[in-house]
Amino acid sequence: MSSGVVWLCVILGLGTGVVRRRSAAVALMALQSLLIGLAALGLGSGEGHAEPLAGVALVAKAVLVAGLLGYAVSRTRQPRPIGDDAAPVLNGLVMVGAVAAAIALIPDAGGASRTAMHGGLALLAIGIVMAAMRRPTLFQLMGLLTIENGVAIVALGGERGLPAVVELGVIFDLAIVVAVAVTFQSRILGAFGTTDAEAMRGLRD
Amino acid sequence: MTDLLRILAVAVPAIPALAALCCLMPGARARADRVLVATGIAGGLAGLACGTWALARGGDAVEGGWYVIDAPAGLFTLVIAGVAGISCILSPQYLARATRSGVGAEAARRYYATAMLGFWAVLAAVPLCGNLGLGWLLLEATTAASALLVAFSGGRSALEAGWKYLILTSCGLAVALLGIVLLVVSGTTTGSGIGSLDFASLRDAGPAGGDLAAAAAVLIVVGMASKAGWAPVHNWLPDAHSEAPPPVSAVLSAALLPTVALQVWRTVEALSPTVGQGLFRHLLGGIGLASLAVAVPFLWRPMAWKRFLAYSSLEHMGVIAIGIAMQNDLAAAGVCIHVAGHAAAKALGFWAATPLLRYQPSAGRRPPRGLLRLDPTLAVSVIVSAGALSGLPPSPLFASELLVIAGAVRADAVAFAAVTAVLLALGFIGIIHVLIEAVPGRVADRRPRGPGAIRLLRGACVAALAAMGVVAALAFTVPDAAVALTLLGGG
Repeated sequence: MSSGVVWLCVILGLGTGVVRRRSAAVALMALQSLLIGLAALGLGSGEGHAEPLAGVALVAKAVLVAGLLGYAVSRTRQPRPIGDDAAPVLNGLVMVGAVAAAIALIPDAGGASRTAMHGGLALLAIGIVMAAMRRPTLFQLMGLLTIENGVAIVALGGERGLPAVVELGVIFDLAIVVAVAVTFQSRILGAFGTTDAEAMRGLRD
Repeated sequence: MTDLLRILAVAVPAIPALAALCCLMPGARARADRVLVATGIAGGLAGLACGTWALARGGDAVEGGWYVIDAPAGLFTLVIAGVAGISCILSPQYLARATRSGVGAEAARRYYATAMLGFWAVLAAVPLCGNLGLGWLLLEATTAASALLVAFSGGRSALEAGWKYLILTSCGLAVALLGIVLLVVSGTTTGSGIGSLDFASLRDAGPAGGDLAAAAAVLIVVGMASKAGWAPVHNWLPDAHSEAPPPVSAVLSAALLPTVALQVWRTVEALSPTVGQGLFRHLLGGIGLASLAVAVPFLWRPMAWKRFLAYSSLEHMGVIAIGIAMQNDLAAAGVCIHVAGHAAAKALGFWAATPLLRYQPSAGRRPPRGLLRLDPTLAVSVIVSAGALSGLPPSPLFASELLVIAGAVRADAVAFAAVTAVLLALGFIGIIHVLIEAVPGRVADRRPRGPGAIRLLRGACVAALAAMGVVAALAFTVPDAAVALTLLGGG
């Protein structure tokens, strides 16, 4: 994968993490997933790699996930945006700090593309911060998707990737998890009147 | 004969999988109930046969391209079959009174049965999987079905618990997946294709990969810790186990959590030659102690029965983590006994919750009271469950905790063993206190008519007692048995 694509994916990840509107975040997320799929399609088959096959599956996943997220947004429209979310600047700063920490903590990969490794770790950190800090539940789901995209970038950047069965299985599993998470969105809205994770704090000891 | 064992091993996940497909077909309301009970019996018997056979073969494992039928797989197959089988048989009693917002009774039963049987099918395949990558896929697949079950009631608390479970465990497993990718990238795996992630291949890879392999191992363990419910990434556990339907809580706590620990154990055994035993000892030992330390204060607090059992799960998963960390025969034997004894005792506790919540609905929010006056069978089930979980002799958990502590002493981790013993003693006092509060006393609750749930609970209680009796009787043979030695790279 070219450095430009990797860092563009990281910028899109940061954008997904800081925007307020769910529809804008879904668009950025879809673009990021699509870029990774197209980049995988552009790679040749290496030892143990199945990039063209994985590329097709990643593109299909990007389209499917974007559709599911878009469906979730349309089914859970709320009269006003979820308020009191952390300021975009604060979210961005925390994400950049987490990216720096992740890159510093994980040693360099001898055989792997350095850029892909750093880009993947950056998306891992952004995804974790997004899942932990953003209040709309759909952003927490997009945090998970960002982590998975980071893993895909590291896998595609190495000289040897995951076996094809595992790569395809990961995509299948993720699609199922996203479908289940999308069904939760409308049920959460029905029960709580909002998809704000702050409303879901009834279970405390 | 090995072909017959292979066929049986295929049948173990296939029976609940086919039954789940049956439930998807439109039919009468009673069909889901009948399918649950029939599958509980058939699938349970197949699992018991396969597990017993694999255990009886000792160190003579049957291995294939991606599967392994060895003694540990046999033990976990037994545990899953016993817990999931009886949970399915008890499920219609729960469904008879359960309400679920948004759908009708028939749809709710089909939804429950399909998710429960699908969850069981995937979970049953995990111990038989001898491949890190496929094991990860199976664990991730359990998440979707079990999250739907946790949120089954559709209430606010159940949705909150289900959502938290889905997101936290999926994020944790994504981190573990990054670890698996780094393992490949670091050059620790040899060859290509799915076989490169076989535990046997990883074990034979030898010391390669350097710091990156160590980082990969840490990410795999920490990521899977979120699914195993180990502290400090355990936040979903008390919520999911307390909000899920009781039969589902039994499978989550007694079968799913230890099965994730088995995947971690196989990974530790396979990667120890590459990254060294010290890394895993410190990492898993720390996780185990943290789990114990987090759980014990909650065992002292008055809380709802199922929530109390959930914190008890955290405590016992801590013991399992410490046992795996020590990597010697005593501790390994302790873990094997602990998995079996904990499964019987914990599952019984959750099975008792169905009639308990029916007879004393306030037990869903507060500690139970006056169980002896309410119903003797219920009281005995709670006494057996909590007594065994506390480690009170002759509970097999007494022997297992002793073995884990002895294993820590043998591994020259004396301070570690001392802290573990103190925390377990504190936990014991907390659980006994809960029992003293719950069993005697007067209650205003009235026992409703139709004690079908109590009759079934009586049977489940006998089965759990028999299982614990067998495990306790065999406990001191386990340190030399293949079930423990296999997971130390021997056997």
